[in-house]
Amino acid sequence: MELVKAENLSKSYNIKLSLTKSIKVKAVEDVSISILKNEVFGLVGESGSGKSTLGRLMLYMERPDSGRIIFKGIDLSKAGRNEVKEARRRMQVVFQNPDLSLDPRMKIYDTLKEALDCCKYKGDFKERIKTVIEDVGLSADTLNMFPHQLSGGMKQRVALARAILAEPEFIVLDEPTSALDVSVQAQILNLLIELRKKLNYTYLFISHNLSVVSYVSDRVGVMYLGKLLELGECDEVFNEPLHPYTKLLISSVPTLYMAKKFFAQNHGCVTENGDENLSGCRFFKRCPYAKDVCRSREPELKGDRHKVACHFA
Amino acid sequence: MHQNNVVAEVRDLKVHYSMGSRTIKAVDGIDFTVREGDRFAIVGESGSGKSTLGLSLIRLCPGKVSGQIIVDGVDLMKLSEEEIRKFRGSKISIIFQEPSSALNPVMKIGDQLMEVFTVHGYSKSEAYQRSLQLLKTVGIPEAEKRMQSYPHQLSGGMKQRVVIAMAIALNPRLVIADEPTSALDVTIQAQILNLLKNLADSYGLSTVLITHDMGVAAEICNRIGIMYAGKMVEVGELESIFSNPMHPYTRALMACIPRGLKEHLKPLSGHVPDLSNPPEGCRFHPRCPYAKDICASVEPKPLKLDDRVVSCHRAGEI
Repeated sequence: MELVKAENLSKSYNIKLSLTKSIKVKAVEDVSISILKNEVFGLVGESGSGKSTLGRLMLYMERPDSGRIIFKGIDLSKAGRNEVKEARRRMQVVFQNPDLSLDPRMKIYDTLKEALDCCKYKGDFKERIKTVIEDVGLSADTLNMFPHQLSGGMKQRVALARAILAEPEFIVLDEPTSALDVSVQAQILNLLIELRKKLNYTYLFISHNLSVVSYVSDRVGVMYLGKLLELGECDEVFNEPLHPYTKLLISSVPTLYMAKKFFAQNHGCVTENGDENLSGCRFFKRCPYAKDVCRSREPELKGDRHKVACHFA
Repeated sequence: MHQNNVVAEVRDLKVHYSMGSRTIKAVDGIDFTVREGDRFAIVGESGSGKSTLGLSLIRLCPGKVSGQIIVDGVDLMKLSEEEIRKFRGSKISIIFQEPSSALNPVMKIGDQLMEVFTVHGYSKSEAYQRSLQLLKTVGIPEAEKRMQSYPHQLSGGMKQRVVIAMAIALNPRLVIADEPTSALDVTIQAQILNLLKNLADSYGLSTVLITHDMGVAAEICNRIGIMYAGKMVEVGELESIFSNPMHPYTRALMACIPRGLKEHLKPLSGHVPDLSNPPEGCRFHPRCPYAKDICASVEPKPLKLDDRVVSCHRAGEI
């Protein structure tokens, strides 16, 4: 069953260069994804690919320029205030850096209680907070502490606790482990998987780290300059990538284990492609297989289960 | 390549910081050698002391440093401030993690690069020619134009290339790279790692690469040292350590890395100890699944096994 669906989402930002000059940056362009209930959807891409913007759009934290977000059958752009509010309670987010997402002057208990206040929780506050803090693997003593007294991993657990207090169904995890050490990262990843099993969550897992995404996700989407280039089952995408960019990404990951079977030609960077080359394929300048058609015509995202946007896939 | 010529030798290096009444033992008795042509990786989690170690190798560390650091036959600890300034850049240099803070934002790229040469006694015109050549060597397109650019006009990867150019400008014997790619995207990281590897090969540079990412180390290094709480727990050839890690911490660290398979990760419990008051005995024993009584009381001595050095009471038996 579909839980969240994004249809043809686009979002652009005006960036002011000077008093009179500004440019339009298309952060997300014509992206459609649907996330099934109890699924982990991974979103990978380099910085500037628009993956975080897509996450914010899916949460309706940011209004799309065009396109629709349908959460549990309700079109959020047409829904009334209360309906949106109710839907928002069912969707939560965990950000990358817990130092920025937790108030340094509030005790953990107050931070968590605030989340309950926001969703107008009627039951026993203390009981609920205690259950959740134990769910995320912290002891009740933590509640009386301030964020600075906790380690990075513990802070991220608090951020996660705050997200699950409201009993959400859909959680956007925006680089939840990027600020952590590998050993702590492994703890948090396992915790996320456990919680999903226990409480039937659906995740949108955003990360630039391919091995982390492949560890937690069922399906995965690859983004580049605001476009979705490839979409499919996690195993298929990582083992048999169809898009040249996905291949480049996978072969770039330094790892002890993944075989380097894809091409290694690698030059240029995201910013070089920038805004001018919008008529053709976004990856055109860096792609070793690029032909004339790639410059002039933009490929569509085609395919059945494993979709790819490339003329030559 | 003369594999056996020692370029750098570190003996019983200690770096202590004092914070109020506490002494933080960030690096506490470390020995290792870097041979000519070696790409030596130092891997550890945050707080393990790896960056402090990197800084103290070039004597930029603000803490109290003791022990011996012998680079190219000279004990750096015995040099005066004036002598070490000449040594830096010409014999030993460092690349930092964040290129935007390593470069001066209000100075043109070209001027910053030329400064490396003029400070070491080159004429201005020669400095210009050499800087231009360097930018080409590190793969910066349109080098002439880039000489006139300011750092903010370059992307992160390009900035890191400039920093690398500065580090290799005077053909040093040893380059220390402290998390050189952690601020970069994966595809750019791959480019920079490739560049470092190629430069090391073609110039016969010896490199010490400090990283938290075992994958990065695996990509370009031939030897590796694993640090934990200010100690080097295992040192040896990279391939042999990865195929057969002997220290429990090395094993635990490797078990934390997702392999692209749906295999359950085994995270380490607990956290890195407080370095002002490290545990008695082996520093890893409170988190170690193999710990015995002796581990809590006696500090393990570095044990030489074949090509490797392991500090563990139970090395070889587990």
